[in-house]
Amino acid sequence: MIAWHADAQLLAAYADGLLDLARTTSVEQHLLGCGTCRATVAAVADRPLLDRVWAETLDVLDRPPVSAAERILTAVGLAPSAARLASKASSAQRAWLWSCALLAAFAIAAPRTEGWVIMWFLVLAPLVPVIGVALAYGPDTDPMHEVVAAAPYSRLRLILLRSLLVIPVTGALVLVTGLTVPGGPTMSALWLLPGLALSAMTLALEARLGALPVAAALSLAWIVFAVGARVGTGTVMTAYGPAVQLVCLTTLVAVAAFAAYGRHQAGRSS
Amino acid sequence: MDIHLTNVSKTYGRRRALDPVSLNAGHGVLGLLGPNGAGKTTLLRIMATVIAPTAGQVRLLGHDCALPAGRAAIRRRLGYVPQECGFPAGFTGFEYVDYVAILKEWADRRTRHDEVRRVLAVMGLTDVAGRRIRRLSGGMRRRLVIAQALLGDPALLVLDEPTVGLDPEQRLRFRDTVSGLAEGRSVVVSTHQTEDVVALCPRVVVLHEGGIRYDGSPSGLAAMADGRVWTAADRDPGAVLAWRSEGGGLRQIGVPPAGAEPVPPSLEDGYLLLVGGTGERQEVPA
Repeated sequence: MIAWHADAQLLAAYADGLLDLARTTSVEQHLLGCGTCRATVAAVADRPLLDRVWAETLDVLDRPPVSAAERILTAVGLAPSAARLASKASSAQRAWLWSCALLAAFAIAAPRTEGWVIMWFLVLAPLVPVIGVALAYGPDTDPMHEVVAAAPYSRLRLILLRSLLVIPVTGALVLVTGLTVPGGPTMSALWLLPGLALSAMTLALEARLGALPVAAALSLAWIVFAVGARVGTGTVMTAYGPAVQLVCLTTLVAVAAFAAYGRHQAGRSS
Repeated sequence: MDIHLTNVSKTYGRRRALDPVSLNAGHGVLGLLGPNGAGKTTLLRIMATVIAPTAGQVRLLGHDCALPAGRAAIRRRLGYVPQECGFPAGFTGFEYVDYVAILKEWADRRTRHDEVRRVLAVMGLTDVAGRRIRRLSGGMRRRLVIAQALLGDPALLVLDEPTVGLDPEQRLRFRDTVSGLAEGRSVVVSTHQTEDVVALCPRVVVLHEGGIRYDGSPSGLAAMADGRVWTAADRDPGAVLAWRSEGGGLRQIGVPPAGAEPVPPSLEDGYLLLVGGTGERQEVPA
């Protein structure tokens, strides 16, 4: 039971922030245990100031924690909201990450003399970016797809943001191939262009046919082609020959041009 | 007119989910009633710009759904509650609504978070906003999905069975919220609950087997069962449907036997007669 109360003048000075540190602390200590004085302070408190403090407090309390991935993406120049969209990997994407790690570990652990290991690595490596892109969007992999599809955010932009993870993963795999494939770093990046071309085709066709079906069909076609090349010519490297690289480059350019044209048309009709 | 559908149909492979449907609607709540598989969700997904119709023209809020720019313009003023909706793993309620707000192009964090707090408060979720979604009850999750639909005060609200999973009190509060929202905007709500329609909708459309079977007032729908509802101790041969009623005896709808005393029909009677009976399109009684 508290018998003593601070006088109104003291409380008003406190509410206005005019007291020194020692007296502020004393008043606060008293307020914690005294309902009567709290009521007095509430009556004289600066309303706009109180609202602002309350809003700031709520803002800090509600602010979702920023993940390490988000920090990195913001540091490289992405807007915080875009970084948020990019950093939330779905469970399907996490599964994809694990299989990529498995693929890399497989390539590293395998003895270099085992030709079939390297062959399968080269056949499967271009599919890494394709599947990474395919998992970024669509009803099969995104639990909240219905809501996403009805939102105005650009579909292509969202897919690209959610596929950002593909870049470091693909880079890491290039590094791994550099260490494993006989022929060194120049040979190791050969699968990059086919991988990019297949990813671009997935992006171009997903709106019509769905990302997963397109990625599955393209992947199957690629595997048949690469294995066919191995059987036909005795080495999987045929599937990475100059002609194939040229076709892949042309595909990439064509898809980019098509996308740019589509955007231009959409811009004109609005 | 905010909603303008002309001969809109949808086919999945060989299966026709929606016969050509024409529908115009302006401000206010439009109720969509129909059994499972009637085409309600297909129609609402078309209105939410999630799927494109196989044929026909869709104009919403003055924009053409067939054009990318039109769709983007509609989506900026649209709120959508899908029938089934999952949640990303590990999200809290606040993070979920915040994520949708980013997709709705609220780039600035402060104004976005204020808006997220506002819609969470409207749905009574302020106290649980920081909880992980997997620890929320079914009713709370449903309210969370409704909350994201309210972001940015949309001009068109498409709600696909929003009251599923809500308890009676929450349902009552939801109806209150929606009636408040109907002022100055268009709301389309599908439901199984005839009470929802009675409480919310001045206009009701009954969808059955892919086509519109009724379009008019709820009282008009009830009136279709005039003289075709009666009670008796045992099931009569002319009854299309019969169920035990509160006063004892069987409430029956269909062709009453001679001497049966007709009782005043409810909206549910009219609806059941329509979808359980002949299945032909009935004109609105004058």
